[in-house]
Amino acid sequence: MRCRFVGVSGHTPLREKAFERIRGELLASGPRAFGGRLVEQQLAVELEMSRTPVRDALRRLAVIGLVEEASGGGYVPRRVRLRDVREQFDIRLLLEPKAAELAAARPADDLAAAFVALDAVGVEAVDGSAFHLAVAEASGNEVLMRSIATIDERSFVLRVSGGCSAADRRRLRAGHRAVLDAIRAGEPVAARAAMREHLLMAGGLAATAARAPRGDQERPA
Amino acid sequence: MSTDSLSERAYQELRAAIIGGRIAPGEAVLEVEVGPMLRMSRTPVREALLHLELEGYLVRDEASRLVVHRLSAREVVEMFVVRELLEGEAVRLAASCISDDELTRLAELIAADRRALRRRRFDELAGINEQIHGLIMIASRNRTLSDLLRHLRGRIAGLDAFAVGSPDDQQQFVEEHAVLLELLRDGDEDAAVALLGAHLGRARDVLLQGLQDGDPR
Repeated sequence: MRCRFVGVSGHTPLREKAFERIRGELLASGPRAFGGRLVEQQLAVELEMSRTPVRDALRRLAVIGLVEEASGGGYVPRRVRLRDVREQFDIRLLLEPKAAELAAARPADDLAAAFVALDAVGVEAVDGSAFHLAVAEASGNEVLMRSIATIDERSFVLRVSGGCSAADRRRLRAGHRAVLDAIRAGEPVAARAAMREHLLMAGGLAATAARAPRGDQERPA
Repeated sequence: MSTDSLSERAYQELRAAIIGGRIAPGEAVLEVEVGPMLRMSRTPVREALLHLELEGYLVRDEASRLVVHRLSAREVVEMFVVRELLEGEAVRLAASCISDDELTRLAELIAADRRALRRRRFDELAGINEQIHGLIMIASRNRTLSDLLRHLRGRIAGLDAFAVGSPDDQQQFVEEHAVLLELLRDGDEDAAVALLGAHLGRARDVLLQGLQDGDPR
């Protein structure tokens, strides 16, 4: 799912591959990714690539704020700050309810493909990001979708202990279902409200996770 | 000069050329040509081009060449839906966060706006417009928001409403900037958001008209 969006800007495949692999490891291991330090030369060896795509990928990760330059050269994974989480959810609250609203307002025929994608992702998906990107795509507004994908791409590593209980997870899934039901029923106002409510809840969990000490836990929403 | 500041200079010069319309939408920007033009080696040029690509000013065509992004009417409509959401929020936040220094700078930019209008320097208006909207984004103090808006504005490069509008349109845009400054100074966020919405709506219509007329410049 993700690759379809990232490919939009048309980076060369190798550069794209380096970016995705490093980003994937950053999301999976957080501050411990690559031993806590990302050095161009070592990464090139590790990923079995030449240095140029690795260098481009590191610059791009620095631009989107997932890594930051280290004083002794190279980069380190950027620490999650509560402020970052708040900022991101504030923006998601502007964009994603609008996407749900636009999706629900579209004629059913236009949504056929989007429903195939949404059903494939499923509201039960553990990775909420695929669900949110599918709703963004269902909006039919490509610029809006790209903006939502851009925020998703730079979502911080929120794998932190304490946050998400089984009950929280159930509520997150119920939120996805409410959004999907409202889109299916063609009710823009309800779709907008359902997405908003779901994001407020997810944002609360993410903020709690960002405050807690680091551990392992998946990304809410 | 270090590679970083060279690449920053290359980035700024190319960006200004795209915004000012000296490199047209659809035109290719080749590493081998830009280097000699700016009298720089390939590394800083390469980094500048990557940066411009990330911000949406440049896209790759079928042959994988970097070309200046060309907007379609559909994209303009879609983009203004998003701009209104994001810039509305930026203005709302700026109404309470903007610093005195930023207000002073904004007043200077609006004075420059008026001067350019009086002297009929329409080529300068687009650049000043870019700086005014850019300053408000930064004044919002939300990095995610300002990054995203810069990204969006990258896609609008070379097709600024100022560049395609009539003198009356331009006069109106400049006056709206001046009113926006007053509202930000007073911290009147609701009125500032409403004004921005109307301002962007007009800019969208002017752009669409420009696209319909064929030649955006």
